[in-house]
Amino acid sequence: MRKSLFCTAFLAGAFLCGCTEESVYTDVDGQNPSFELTTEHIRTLTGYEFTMSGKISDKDGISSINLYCPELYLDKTINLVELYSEIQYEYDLSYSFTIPEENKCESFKVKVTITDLGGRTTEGEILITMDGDYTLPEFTSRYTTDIKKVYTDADMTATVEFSATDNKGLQYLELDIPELEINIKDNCTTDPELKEGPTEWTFNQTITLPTDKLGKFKMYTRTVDLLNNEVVDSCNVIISMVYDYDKLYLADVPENKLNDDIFGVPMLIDHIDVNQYRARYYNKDAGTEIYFIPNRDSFSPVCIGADNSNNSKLSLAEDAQPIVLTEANMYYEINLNLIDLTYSMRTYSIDDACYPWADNMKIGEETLDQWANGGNPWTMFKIGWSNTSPSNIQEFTKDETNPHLFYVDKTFPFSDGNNHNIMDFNFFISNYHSNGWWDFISWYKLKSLDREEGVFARFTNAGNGTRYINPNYDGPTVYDPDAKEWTWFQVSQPGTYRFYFDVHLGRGKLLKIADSNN
Amino acid sequence: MRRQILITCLLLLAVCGYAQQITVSGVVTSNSDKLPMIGATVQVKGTTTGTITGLDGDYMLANVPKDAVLVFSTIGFETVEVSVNGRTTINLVMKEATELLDEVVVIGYGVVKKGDLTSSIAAVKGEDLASLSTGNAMNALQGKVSGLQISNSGTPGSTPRVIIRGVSTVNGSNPLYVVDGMPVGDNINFLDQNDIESMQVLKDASASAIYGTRGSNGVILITTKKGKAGATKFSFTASAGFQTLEKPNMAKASEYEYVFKQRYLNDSSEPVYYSKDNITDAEGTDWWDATMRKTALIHNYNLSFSGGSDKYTYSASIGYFGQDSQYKIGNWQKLTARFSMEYKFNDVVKAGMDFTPKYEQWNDTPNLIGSAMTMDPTTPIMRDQSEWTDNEFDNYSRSHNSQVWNPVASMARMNKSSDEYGLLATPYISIEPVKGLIFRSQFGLNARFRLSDEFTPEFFLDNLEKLDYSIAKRNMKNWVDWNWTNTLTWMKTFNQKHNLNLMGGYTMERFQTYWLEGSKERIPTNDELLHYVSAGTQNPQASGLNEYSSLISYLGRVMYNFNEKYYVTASVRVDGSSKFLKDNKYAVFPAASLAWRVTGEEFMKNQHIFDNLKIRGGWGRVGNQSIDNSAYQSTISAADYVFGPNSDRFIGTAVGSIGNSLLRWETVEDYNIGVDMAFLNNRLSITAEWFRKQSHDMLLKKDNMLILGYPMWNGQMWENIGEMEAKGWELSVNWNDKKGDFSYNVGVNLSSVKNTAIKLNGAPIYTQSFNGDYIIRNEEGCEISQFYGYVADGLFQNQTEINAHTGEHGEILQPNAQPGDIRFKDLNNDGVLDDKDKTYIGAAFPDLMVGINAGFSWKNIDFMANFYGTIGNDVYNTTKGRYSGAGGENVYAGAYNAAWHGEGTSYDIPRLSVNDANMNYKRVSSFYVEDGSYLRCKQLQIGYTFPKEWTKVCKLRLSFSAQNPFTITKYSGMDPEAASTGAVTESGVDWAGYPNPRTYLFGLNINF
Repeated sequence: MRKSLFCTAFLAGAFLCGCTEESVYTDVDGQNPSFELTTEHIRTLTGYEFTMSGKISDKDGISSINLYCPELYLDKTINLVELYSEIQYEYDLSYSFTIPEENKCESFKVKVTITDLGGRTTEGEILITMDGDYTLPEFTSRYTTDIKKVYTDADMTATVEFSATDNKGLQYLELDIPELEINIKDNCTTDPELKEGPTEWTFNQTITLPTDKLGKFKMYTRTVDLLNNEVVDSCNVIISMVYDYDKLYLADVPENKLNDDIFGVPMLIDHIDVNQYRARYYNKDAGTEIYFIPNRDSFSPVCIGADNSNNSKLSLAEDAQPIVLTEANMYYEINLNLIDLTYSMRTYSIDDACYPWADNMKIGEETLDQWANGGNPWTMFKIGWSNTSPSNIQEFTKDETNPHLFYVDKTFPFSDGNNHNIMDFNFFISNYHSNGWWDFISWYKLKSLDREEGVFARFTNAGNGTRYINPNYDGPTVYDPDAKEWTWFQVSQPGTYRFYFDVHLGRGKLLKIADSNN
Repeated sequence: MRRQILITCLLLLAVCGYAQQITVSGVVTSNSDKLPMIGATVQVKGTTTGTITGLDGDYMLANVPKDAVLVFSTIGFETVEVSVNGRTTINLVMKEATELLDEVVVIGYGVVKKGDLTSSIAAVKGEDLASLSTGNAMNALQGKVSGLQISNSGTPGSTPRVIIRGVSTVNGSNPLYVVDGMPVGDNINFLDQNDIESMQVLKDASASAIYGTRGSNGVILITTKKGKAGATKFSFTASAGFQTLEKPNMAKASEYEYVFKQRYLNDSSEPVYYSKDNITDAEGTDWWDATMRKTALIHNYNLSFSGGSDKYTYSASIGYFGQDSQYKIGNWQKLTARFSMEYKFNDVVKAGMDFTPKYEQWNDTPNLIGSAMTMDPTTPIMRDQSEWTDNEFDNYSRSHNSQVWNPVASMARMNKSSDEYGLLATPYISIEPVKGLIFRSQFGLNARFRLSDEFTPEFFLDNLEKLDYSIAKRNMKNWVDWNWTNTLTWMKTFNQKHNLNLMGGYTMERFQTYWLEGSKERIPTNDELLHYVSAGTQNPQASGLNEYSSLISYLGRVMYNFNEKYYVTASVRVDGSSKFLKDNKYAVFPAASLAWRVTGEEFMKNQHIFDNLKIRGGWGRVGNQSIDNSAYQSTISAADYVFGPNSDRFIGTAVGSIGNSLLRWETVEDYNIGVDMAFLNNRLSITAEWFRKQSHDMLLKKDNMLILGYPMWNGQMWENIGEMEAKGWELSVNWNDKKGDFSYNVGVNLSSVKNTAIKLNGAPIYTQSFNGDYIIRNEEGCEISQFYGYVADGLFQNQTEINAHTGEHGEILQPNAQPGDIRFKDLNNDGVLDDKDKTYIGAAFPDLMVGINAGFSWKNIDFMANFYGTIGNDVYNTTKGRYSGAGGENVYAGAYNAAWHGEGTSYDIPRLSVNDANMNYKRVSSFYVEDGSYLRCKQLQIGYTFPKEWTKVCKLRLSFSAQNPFTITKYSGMDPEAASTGAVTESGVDWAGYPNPRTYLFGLNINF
């Protein structure tokens, strides 16, 4: 019924509208469509996809494109009238086809027929040959190490060497640093038709870097084969005002006090990128003067402070001034850019500082989920250090002003119970647990750092930590149990030592606070 | 002088009158049974002269003036006046007064003359229903009323799906059935159609609004036969015959083997085949014959009697209906009875009662047609005897090459039966203190008690066809509903032109369900003596619940007509339901209708075209409350929780459902315009109607916001958020005529309705899952129950066609396609074949429904034919998958040749493939969609009434009828009608259900 109604309506419509159909497709120029192929010869391989492309235009409007190749079982009509609601006067042909795996022929010809709305046609032909190359060239040796130069270096040159191979032949190897306008193309072949080329090639060129441009620039090493298949590596060229130190320390004490500690002074700051550092620091007293030094023990040979003439810049000069932290009981975040010797500084309050443990856990309150079962029971949450187990910690005392800061005193030597006077201590930091369950939340030294640096990374092993840790904490954290270890120190003089531990910073330091009464 | 002349004339007249007196004699018979009327009064009009008819219905009346008028009368028959005109013999056939019912139509809480109807109400006489032998009288109504869509499967005891004028809600489509004033739910299986006097279908809201909250799907009023004053009359009706199903033509073992292996070979795979190789055509198991009967018995008997006097009337009947399933097990039988009596105490008070007890019994009919068709024919029914065990259910064979369960074994294990006892009682009293003022009070009780038992034995055929522990279950379910209806009706005619009928009423209804279910596992043996729950030894389970709902209603109606030309009817019902909370508990359902009898106007008096022309229009609001009794409240249910490192389970509770305290009724607003016409001395009658129903506040379940934390599986809540529309037209044309001994009638009714979901819960409702997808998508703004899938665009005939089936830029649309696979259309031309390329590929509801009814009688022979059909509906024929052999299942005979096996060999059935990597059969696509239009001959019946000279005092009629003898359709599945059943949002999917069988019956009617 529905069909018959439709047919009736259609016939009626066709009868009534028959005259208007012609008027829709009135000729404009009556010319055949114009057709320009991107290439008339496509080189491909059996089992691979190739793409036929070209530009088509017709002022009357394009009706369809037919691609015909009986050997490839290809008879495709792209009917633009069906595909588009509006008449297409220009069309970018781009049609991909895959040569069947079982193909045995070496070449085909695809006939392309363009038909416009007036029924006029234009034909073209694309030759498809089975001599393509879909194998990328390969680097046999790469150049991926960053080039780091201080602009004052006497030698601003660098030698770049890399090698490549290709199954069918190489066209060229190239080094490209667009921002420094350095581009060196090493042609491998002299064949203008690119039919032949060596299958192996080595690029070895020395470049001279400018001294008037500071920054970090991308360098590309590129290998291109005869069929324009290319592979690219990249690295950075860094031209800076100082060297990129592996480690940089924040010194908040005069040079002569740098070695008064057992560990933790000066404080290691974060090396976040090439010549980029970030320091977070709790400033207890207003007016603290700080410097940044690459050498833990001394202000020489380099001590980075504020520029004497421009306080917003850094300086390595002897007259560099300390950076003064003016706000007491405040956390500071200082970002250093040693490429151009600039820095920025911001403060955030104790309240805004993030705890490493879960929000519901409060030091000194029964907020620790003792059996990881939703609080049956909740037990007292306290942290401390221990050389045995979480059931036997020496609890840290919370600083009266800064709840993120804890301390504990320990007197050396101490007895091990067997009349041995111990002058060293091997410890980890953990929450307390009556049954000695491990790793709810704890802190360890990273194996990759020296113990003198006083960095303590947060670790948890309970339920992937989501129950005990604050996922927003971005201080030192370790997830791999094999990357952490207990830390050890030894004191040479008897006395009472105080260990300060800032849980927000993940930094600790051990200072002698009194001589031994013995 | 003048005085003398006058006296002379008078004398002459007296002499003449005396001289013209004659003796008149004759026989009076009844028109219904052609039997002599005993005790009928024959009287000379205007005199006291008269007599009564004798035992043979004969009479003789002397001294009757030649120009006298004789008045024939008796209780229960129309009084007839006959002019003598000098005749000495006057034989008369008296018409039963019951035929006046032709002129009276039952409406909600009252009756009205058919000619005075202002609403869309169709009336069908009981005798038109009784001719079809069926377990449910609604099946007999199919095709007889326009706008009524009835679909059914052939399963014994199944309830047909009845839709009146389309679908306006997703919450059930069944109309409300009211038997003798008592609402009885949505199944009238308990009625013997021989006991039905008439059925009225209230189609529009102006008629059904008087039933308020439950009238949104229309109302069907059923009036059972009542006693009539007069001598006691007996009637016996019997019909018996058999049913048969057309056997599907499935492959035999050799073709199965060939197709099975070819599926692998076509995919370049080694066949994994476990049966004997190279079997011949004669071998193999015919699973259809092993599972099904060739013929199934159906029989129906009814004995009734009725009679009465001017003080009391009575009527009673007892009936039996039995129907075997077409399977080798399964049947349904029912024993029904009806007692009806009315006593007239005086001119003011009368009382009566209808009492309808019943007993039904089911031995459940299996659902194994799919298995019988798809079971591997290389598998024998039983294992080799050497492998038999003590458990007889272990001795059946497991399919060698598929996962289809052995249907014969399934039947052997099936042990499920139900017994149901029911009683419908409707006592009433009627008081008419003043002429025209009637108070009627009726109490109705409808109670049913069902007991179901099921035993499933322990068995093991293999690890994928087994039951580790036997289980016995018992379910007891009781329904007890009562209804108290009180109405006060006042009818009065003023100045012979103003006819007024006022009705007011108050009703109370309560619906109660009680159920208890228990089960136990591991019965020690499968012995029939132990098929009881108590015999189980492990895992005792029990559950039970009481459910209640109630309604209180106030109703009123005014009917007025002026000089039977201008009619107006208005009604209102106020319903209060327990399903809603205080603020939304009550709702008002008003309705109004107008009619103009154009032929009653003066300017139509002299025209000879129309015998009747009436224009009607109506509007009304009805409601629907088909939701859970407790939908307004949140509930908690038993739930297990898992705690601790050992994942221990603990019994607890969880949110079971989310209540909505703001729930209110669904409301359906309905408009109806109609015209009734009669021509050619009322031989041709035509009724045409247009209607539109739109629901508001349709109740739908909607997900709550996840932020509220409700469990996802129970987090839905009923809300009044939907809207639907059903719009359509109906046309009914009937012709009646008589030429001498030949009388005939022909009726055609057509109806069309479009069901549209205007607003749902914001997202489409998907139904009918299929291979991880859904077949049907009900979407806002679209017709409901439409199939939604990919467009199958024929088959790839060669590699060139596959290569051409790409996107604009050569994107491969069907990477796994091979010649012989289905080409699916990339409708959005984006170069990817995905969900965005799906579209509506078929509609389950028809564009047009057709009913054709014809009958003729010549002398003692009568013949009738009924046809019913639908046009423009589609069926999603999943059985087309029987061409695939997927999973090692059996295929249609000739599947290999039907399936593509070379260029040009098929354009529809795809190639055989074991992997179906192109997803020919796995996708929801138009490949499965077929035109489901059909025209079915519902019944052909021929009868012969023996001459009364042979049968003396009784009337004897024999008949032969064929039900569903043929169907005209293009549909390739077993039954387009059975495929059209299902809930309104999931219709039209053919899962190989039980088709409607052909039935051949001999009938006998005796009246005396």
